[in-house]
This record gives sequence, structure tokens and C-alpha cells, in this order.
Amino acid sequence: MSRDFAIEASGLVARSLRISRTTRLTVAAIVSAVALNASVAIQFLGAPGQGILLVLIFVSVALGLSTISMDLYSRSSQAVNNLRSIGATRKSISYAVIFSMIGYGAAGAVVGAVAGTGVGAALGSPGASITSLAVDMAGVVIAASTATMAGVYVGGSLWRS
Amino acid sequence: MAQLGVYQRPNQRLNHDRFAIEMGHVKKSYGETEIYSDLLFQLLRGTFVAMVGPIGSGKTTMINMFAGLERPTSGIITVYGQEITMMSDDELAAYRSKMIGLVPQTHTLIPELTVYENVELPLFFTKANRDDRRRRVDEVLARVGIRGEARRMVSTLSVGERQMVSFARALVNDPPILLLDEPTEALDPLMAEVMFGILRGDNMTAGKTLFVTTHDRRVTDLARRTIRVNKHIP
Repeated sequence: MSRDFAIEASGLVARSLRISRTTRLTVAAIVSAVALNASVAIQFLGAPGQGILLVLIFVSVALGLSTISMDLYSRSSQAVNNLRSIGATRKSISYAVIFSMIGYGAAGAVVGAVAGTGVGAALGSPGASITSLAVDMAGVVIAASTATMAGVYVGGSLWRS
Repeated sequence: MAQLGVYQRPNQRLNHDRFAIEMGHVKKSYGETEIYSDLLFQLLRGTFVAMVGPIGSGKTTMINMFAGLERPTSGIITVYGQEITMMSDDELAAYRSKMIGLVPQTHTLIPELTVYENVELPLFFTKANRDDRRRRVDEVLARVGIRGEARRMVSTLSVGERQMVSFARALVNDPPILLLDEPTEALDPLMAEVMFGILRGDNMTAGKTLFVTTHDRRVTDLARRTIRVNKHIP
């Protein structure tokens, strides 16, 4: 699926399912809040603790987003059935929903991670190098963003019309 | 046993190439209510069949089963030689995309989208490129006579106009089978004439298979064959 095609298709499907800006901002806010807290905590942990924290970020974001995703499908069940009646597969709808949300999830993760790193430094985290801070931040952003995709996908898969 | 259309005994060698749709011993029930029991049915390719019958006689159920939107309780449905009763939900969606143009009785248009976008939507699921989508949507909107309404939101259209959008959406993928459920119910005479012209042309020149449920005498006059069903009284 080309990028332009994916953007156009996901835009139409997202509007069909009434995925509003508010829904997307809610996604961004949730991911941002988790990323912020995680980015503070990660600076005070050793390597094993950081690993566990990243897993926790992934699980909590994925869980939250799967619930939002399921709610979204349930509220739009008529539209989903209409799309399926004209040839949309579950996969194509899921991809469109993920595509319409991932940008907001990733943006939320970046904002939360940057803010959290700043807050951690202000709280007097053990002086780490810029490189290790960047690696921690990247870890949080990647964990939160992939969890957004996974959560939205799982929510769509669990939903049954 | 209901026996509709031209049916060959199961032990005879079936020539699947002749038939668009075949139903073998199909039973359909909703709870205790049996709509069809042991239904045998074959629809020749390129034919135009109208089905008439009272409300509740199973006309919409028949169309929904052909479209794979409802599964029979038991029995087999084959479309162009492919057994659709064994398909997964996603396989059925792909089948509809490729084989079926459906005009349902209740509107399934997306009110949040414009006329153009509603008609364009099925083309996304066949991965048609942008130029191809534009060409085909423009063409079908012009054919159906609603090109001037392309930018309007579906929610602002009259019931008849929505029906024509639904018709355009069914045509846009150029499917070999068109299933129409009471298509003329909300149409004014002019719209109905446009629809009849297209149906006639698609059947006669393009060789499409048409199956239409209707109460409209004008449709049965157009059809090559009319099937009458009665309400099942237990």
C-alpha cells in the first residue's frame, strides 16, 4: 500500500467511523501522560529496572488504546458493517484506524518523553550523559508508539460486530 | 422443497460455467422461524431475474445470502464456481468487492462522506490507483445522473437521490453480478428511467447477471424471468 493511498484511505475510513479530532487528542494525551511519567522514572533506574519499565509502558499504553479502539468500533458498528458490505476487510479497516491514530500517538509519546526528561533532570536525576538520556527517551518513544499501534490493532481484532 | 430457477439434479454433472449463482439444499432459519428449507436454485450467468413476493417472504434474506452478508443455516451457495459458504469473513469481503454490486433496501451509505467519497470508497478496497478511481467515479456518477451532486454530503440528499448514490456505488467496481433489493421504491419516474436504462444496458450488452427483488411492475417487465415467492406459513 503506497503512502498516499494509505493516507487517503485511512482518512475516509476514519471519517466513516467518526474518529474525531477529540478521539485522536485523547490518544495523544494518554500516550503523553504515560511517556512523561516513564521518562522521569527511567532516569532513576538501573538497566534491569529500565527494561521492566519499558515493558510496563508498552502494556499500559496498549491496554488503554485497545479499550479506546474497542469503544470506537462499538460506537461505529453500523459504519463498520457498511464498509464490510462494500468489500472492506477487517484488516483494511484496522490499518486505516491505526494509520489515522499513530501520528497522534507518536506525537504524544515525543512530547511526554521530552517533558519527562526535563522534569527528571529538574528533580535531580543522577547525572547521566546526553547520549544515555537520548537512548532512554528513544526507548520510551518507541515503546509508547508501538504500543499505540498494537493497542489499536488488538482493540479492532477483539471487537466483534 | 423449494425449487427455483433451472435446477439439475445433484447427481447430474453440473456445468458451473453456465451459472452465476447456485444454491444446493439451502436452509435458512432465524431461531424457530424457517425462511427456506432445502432450497435448490440456479441463476444463469448474464440473466436478469426479478423476485416478487410479500414482505417477510425471504427476498432480502436471499439477496443477503448471495452477497455473503448472511450465511445459510445449512447447504451450499456457489458463485461463479466458488463456494462462498465456506469463506471467512475477510474472504467474503474480498468476494463482494470483486463480484457483487449491492443496492440494499436500507441505505448503507456513510452520512459523514460526500456523494463522491461514498462512491469512491469501494475502489479503495480493490486498491485502485487515484487516477483510476477518479475516472471510474466520474464516469459512474455521470451515468447515474448525479454528477452535479458529487460534492454534496449524503446526509443532505433526498431518499431517492441516496438510492441513486447507492446504485452508483454498486456499479463503480464493475462487478459481474448486481443484486438490487427493492431499488425503485423511493425513486421518482425520471430516476427510475435512468436506473432501468442502465440495468437494461448492463444486462444486454455487458452481460451482467441481475437479481432484483421488487414490487414494481416496470422492473418485472424488464426482467427475463420473474420468480414469485410466498410467505412461509408454519
